[in-house]
Amino acid sequence: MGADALVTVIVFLAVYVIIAFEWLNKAIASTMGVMALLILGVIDDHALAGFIDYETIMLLIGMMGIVSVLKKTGFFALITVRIAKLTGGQPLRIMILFCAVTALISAFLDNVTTVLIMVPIIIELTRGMGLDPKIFVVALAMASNLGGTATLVGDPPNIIIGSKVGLTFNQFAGYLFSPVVLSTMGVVAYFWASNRDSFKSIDDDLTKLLSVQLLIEKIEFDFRAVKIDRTFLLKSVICLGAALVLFVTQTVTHLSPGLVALSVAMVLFIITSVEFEDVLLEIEWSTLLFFAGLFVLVGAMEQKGVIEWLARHIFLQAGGNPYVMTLMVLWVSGIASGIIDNIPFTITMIPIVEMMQAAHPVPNHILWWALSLGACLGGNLTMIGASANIISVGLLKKSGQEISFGEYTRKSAPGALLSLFISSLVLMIYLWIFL
Amino acid sequence: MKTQADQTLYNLIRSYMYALGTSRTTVVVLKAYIDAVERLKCTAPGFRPMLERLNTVIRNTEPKVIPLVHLVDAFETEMASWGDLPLEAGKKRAIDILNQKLAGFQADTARVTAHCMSCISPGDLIIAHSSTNDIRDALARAHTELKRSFKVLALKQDSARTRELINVLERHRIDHLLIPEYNLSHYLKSPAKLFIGAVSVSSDNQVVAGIGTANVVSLCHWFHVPVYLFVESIKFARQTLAEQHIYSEEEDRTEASFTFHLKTFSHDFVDLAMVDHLFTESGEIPREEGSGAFLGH
Repeated sequence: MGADALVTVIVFLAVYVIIAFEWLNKAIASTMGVMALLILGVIDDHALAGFIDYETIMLLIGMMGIVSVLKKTGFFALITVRIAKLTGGQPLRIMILFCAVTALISAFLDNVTTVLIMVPIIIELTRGMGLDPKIFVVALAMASNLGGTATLVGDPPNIIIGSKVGLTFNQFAGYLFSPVVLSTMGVVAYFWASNRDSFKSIDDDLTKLLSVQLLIEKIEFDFRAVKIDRTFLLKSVICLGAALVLFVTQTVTHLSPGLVALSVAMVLFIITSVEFEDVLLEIEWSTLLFFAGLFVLVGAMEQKGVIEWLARHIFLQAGGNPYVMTLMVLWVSGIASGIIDNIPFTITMIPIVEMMQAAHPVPNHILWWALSLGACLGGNLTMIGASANIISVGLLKKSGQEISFGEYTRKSAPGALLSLFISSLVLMIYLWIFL
Repeated sequence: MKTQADQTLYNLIRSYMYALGTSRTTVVVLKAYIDAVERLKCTAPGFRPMLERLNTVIRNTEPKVIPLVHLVDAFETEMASWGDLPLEAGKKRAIDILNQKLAGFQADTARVTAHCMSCISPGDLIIAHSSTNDIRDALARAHTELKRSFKVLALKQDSARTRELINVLERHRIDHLLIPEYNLSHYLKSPAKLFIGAVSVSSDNQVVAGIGTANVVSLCHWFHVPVYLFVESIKFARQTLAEQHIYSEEEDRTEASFTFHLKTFSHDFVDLAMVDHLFTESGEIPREEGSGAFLGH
């Protein structure tokens, strides 16, 4: 490696440390890294634009725009009220239904939005029943990360992998649906088995039954205050449906997910006549800037031969056994994503996995599924592993319940390791079938 | 001893009272009580102690929901004559009695509403504060059924309570103006009537009502605006004001870089002497009779 490569590595590691210890805003940290490389002459500003994956950026802007309109329709309030009623105040039913719906919504919408919608209502329900909301909130955050793993648009690592590698929505859903469903079931079963007292039926406690009836009434009462414009709601749901249909039919239409999301978002803005300025305020520009900065940093590392060096001296040392390679990518990604942000990690790993794939081809993109499962599910290991976890902890704190890093990890890590184990088994079965 | 489940129930009931007023809270809680009894799974000998325990919890809410307290007292009196019943028969009996109490209370509420309607004359400016369901219904029906043309000056309270009143006024296209209660003095030069509801009236003739009521009533009293109080007789308590468990909380709060320690009460109280017209389901009651007229309730 030359001097430029060394400088790139130092800048990249500095950015990683700043992000890991939250010394600076993530977007500022990654942009500062890019500026440092430009000032030091490691890259030039013409090359910079070429490193950015615009497909990912388009998909993110499009989906954020669609979600921002959906949030205004009362669509989410409608869903949460229905689920709250369906639970009948039974703790196990609350856990199963909320986790299932959270995973389902997260598969199509962003995880942070999903937990912002679901967590407050589960805190209200469980506290009202005298239950410890912490285990329900941790389970919900985990379900959100699990659900997001199932589709191309569910979680940023998948969006990045899909865009960079050219994998379709259907390929993601086809290969990742089974491990995600099995892992979600495993996680719910784990929470049930390890907290049996919390899941006891309340049917033998009249005071709790009265509280639950009143709580459900109150949730319905609060919902009645939400003004729902049915036409607005219908247009928004149709647009979301259209986007999903176009994602699924990508192999026929040849329209990339980024193009679909952004086009549908524009149509939605026009037909609903929403205040575009309001929508722009809802889009997370800081996240997009963070992504762009990281693309440039990793692009520079790739250009300077750092990625190739990493691949050859670490990952390719494992040899060409597809089982070992798959497990290595899955578990390294899983553990790393529990400690560091899974977005920069995924962007860093993509060229490495590409080299592994080129050196020792593994059929049916299984190395990519291993990277996706590891990066997304590993986020469940600790409180800082995923944005949805941090937001959920914040909502808990707002309701007067503190949960420390250690307590969160004690509750989430066994479930996260279980989901990585289940994913390992499914990937091994895939390999056994396809080899 | 107050358990966490009890405290949760108190908080819930209080939030209902803020948003809906006492009458509707009573109805909602009784309906939820019936649903809870239907769902309950326990042994026959365990059933009655469970009802008694819940009744005790309901009696101790902060503040006391007096109509509800009276209704569970009456329910418990009837329970005493049951003897030993199998679980399902006991549940059926309990549900029947609770339904009967609910129907009786709703009939009283309807009569209070009718009296309230009769107090609305064409051209009136009605000031609505701490409006209960009776008053909201009366405003709507006086406009739609009696075709009376009047204006409502709605005083802004907490968002849920204000929303309930404004929704009714908008739905029935009643001419209205929403103002903060601290701006009321600007509107008291012209003839008006103040309509208030109450959580309870204590045995020492103190009306427990929503926060802000004491200020509004005092101001109206000073400007000779007649104050109308509409309450079901079941809201007259046997206990004094001190025993109404008005909830209070203290907190450290920071606003605009200023940190202070704040103590707040959930409800106000007003002397019945400040009320000019007192209506129950039986019609107008001479104010000086006060709670004495209902102590045998």
